[in-house]
Amino acid sequence: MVAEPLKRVLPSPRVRLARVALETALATKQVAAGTPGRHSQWATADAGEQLSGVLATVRPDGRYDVELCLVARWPVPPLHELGEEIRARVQRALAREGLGDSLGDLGVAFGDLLAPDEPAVE
Amino acid sequence: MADKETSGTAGGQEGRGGSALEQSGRRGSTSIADTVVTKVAGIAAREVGGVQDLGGGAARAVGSVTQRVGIGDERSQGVSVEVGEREAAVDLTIVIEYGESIPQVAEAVRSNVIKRVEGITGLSVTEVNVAVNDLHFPGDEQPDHESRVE
Repeated sequence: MVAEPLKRVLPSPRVRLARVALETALATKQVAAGTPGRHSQWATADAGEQLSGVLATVRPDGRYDVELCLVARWPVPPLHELGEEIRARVQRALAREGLGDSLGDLGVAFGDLLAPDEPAVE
Repeated sequence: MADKETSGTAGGQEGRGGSALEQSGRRGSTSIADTVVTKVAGIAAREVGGVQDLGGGAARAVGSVTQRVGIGDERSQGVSVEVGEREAAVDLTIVIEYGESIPQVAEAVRSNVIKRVEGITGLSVTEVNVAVNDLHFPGDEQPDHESRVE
């Protein structure tokens, strides 16, 4: 008898952290998409699905550093202010999900800009 | 912003996709890729009346092909940026509509590019060099000769 592959019903805290951070960032009006970057370094695998635009890595203290790589949407506000706003939203969202204590540093990178006449990112 | 202190360099982020400016904030940092600075400068230049296109003749010809096959981006065409920790220099090649004042359009481009890049990225723009590569005439899009076949 061949055992069925184990279904992962509970994603790891790392993946949950990455997903909440990315979804919160993407809910921001001036953010068009997440981007994995030229070398696909900002991506997290989640049960066969790839979360593009986020990378979470564990630290020695057990918390996770999260890096987001985003595509901003024109017209954009000052990007450093937008980065701070996204950081604050993500921290609030993680706290609501009970993941606030798991977060280390939260980096926000703007990897590209979606211009007004550019087709929307899928 | 919680913290305006600038840290990190273009070089420090090269391996992560050419990110340019990085500022530390509360438990994290924000970085901006060179591509973003390039696009902002390109969009800002195109916003100025009298600018018909960006890029030199060859760049526009190659650009039209690469855009058709989906690997080019007209917003980066004719724009070259050099980005440091806190400053950026921009080189633009533009095509101006015939009849416009070239000095006035160039100055307007310079001013708008500085305003947009400084406002959006927080970088200080040290220089914007504008090269006017061509003049555009209203009939330029029309074919030189009628097609002999239907």
